Amino acid sequence: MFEFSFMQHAFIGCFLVSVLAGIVGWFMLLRRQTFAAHALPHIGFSGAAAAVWIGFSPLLGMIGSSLIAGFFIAHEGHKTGGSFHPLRRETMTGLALTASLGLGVWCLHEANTASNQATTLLFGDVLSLSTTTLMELGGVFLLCIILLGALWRPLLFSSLSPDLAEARGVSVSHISRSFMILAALATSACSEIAGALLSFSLMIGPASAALRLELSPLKGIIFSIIAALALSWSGLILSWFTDAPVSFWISIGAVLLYSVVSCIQRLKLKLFNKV
Amino acid sequence: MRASDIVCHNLQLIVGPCVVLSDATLKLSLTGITVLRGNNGTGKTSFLHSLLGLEAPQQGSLTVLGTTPQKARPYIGYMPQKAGEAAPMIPVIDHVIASISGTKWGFPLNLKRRHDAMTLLTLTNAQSLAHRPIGVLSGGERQRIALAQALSGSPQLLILDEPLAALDPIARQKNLVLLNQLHQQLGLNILMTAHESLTLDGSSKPLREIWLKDGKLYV
Repeated sequence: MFEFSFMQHAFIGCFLVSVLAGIVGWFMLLRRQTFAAHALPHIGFSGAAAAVWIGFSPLLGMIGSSLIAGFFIAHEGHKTGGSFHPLRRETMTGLALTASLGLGVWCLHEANTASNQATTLLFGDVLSLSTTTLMELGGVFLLCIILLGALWRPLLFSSLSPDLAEARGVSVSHISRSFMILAALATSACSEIAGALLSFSLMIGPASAALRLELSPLKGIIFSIIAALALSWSGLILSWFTDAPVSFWISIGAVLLYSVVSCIQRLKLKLFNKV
Repeated sequence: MRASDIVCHNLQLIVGPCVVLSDATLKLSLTGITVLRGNNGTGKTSFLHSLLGLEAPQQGSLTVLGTTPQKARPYIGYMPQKAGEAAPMIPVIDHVIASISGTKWGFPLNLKRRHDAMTLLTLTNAQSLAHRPIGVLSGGERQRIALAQALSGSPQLLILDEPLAALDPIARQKNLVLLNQLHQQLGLNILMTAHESLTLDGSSKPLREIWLKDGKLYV
């Protein structure tokens, strides 16, 4: 299987998005932004559909629409929103999702595109990653890693103790906006592999298991990256042998991972209580 | 022990429908533990926020520790009303580590931060809680973690918003004694809000109180 260039591309692509999904997914879950993690790839779908219509790369379309939506979601500012902030953010996420899905369907209709193009956007096609797309993914990966490296300390501080961080002078609203840019870029990259419908599983599955284990931030993120990598690579291998889609194996694997981790935690709790 | 001065000049602070301070001119020298009192909704938290530069006054000037509230931030330790609720599954020590140099950009390369975090937890008698998720702790224990976070950065003045709220009398007295120890050992001045009548064990002398009422601060 490794002698084929399309499989080599697929493994490299999975590596890039797994690292991003592991880190960004962990932060999204910690910041209680699972709805945004679910919505952004769907929003990216409409951008990809528009790009197909105009004749651009779908990945660029995904990034563009996710960035615009991410800006609007984060714009429901921490300061102006106060304690209403989470509710307003969720409402804006829902509105952005609704509007973009409608636009996406219209773009596909106008493009008069064959239904398999829409299926590819929705479910992903990791086995047909071209060198150009891989280069684009590499660029997104590098940009995200640089942004994460720069934001790391204030992002973690404002995620763990938002009130204290603000009192110390961290601009929580600016950090939220920057993080949504990061999330938009990462979810677009994930959608390229797992598709708009299932990239959520790669973002949230490994991160939810890491948080269930109550690990420290660094250990949790490393666990999340390794788990995402294991899910995507094993998904590729299983897909090769079974002919079932990669995203199917990723989503099933994510649920299984969380279930196993939950059982381990319950067992640990029982043993701890006995002692 | 140096006093921590708060100076207001013609200060007008209105937050939403609440007139917190109206044309207030005063100099408040904080030494030891000072309790800010006032009925619910009088704007105690908003007043504390203005000292931290989080609420801007509509008119007049406000200086804290001889400078603007924004510039005074590195010298102030703050404990918010509801601490430790954002990430209950993360271990205590990581909350404290994040608050050490959390305002700086970039990835932390300083391994000493874990040691520094343990020192802060020891100061607040919470070292045994370091590796437990913050969400499983009791109210009193969480307050001690929040206090350790407030102490990071070696502040001169501690501003604590309801540090004794929702605690039973024993936990309340324990935390009050801890605050007094911090004041005496580290030379910290403390401004805190509270609703309860407070006296330190072994002394019938009540703590210094200031009152916020009808847009005025009664010292």
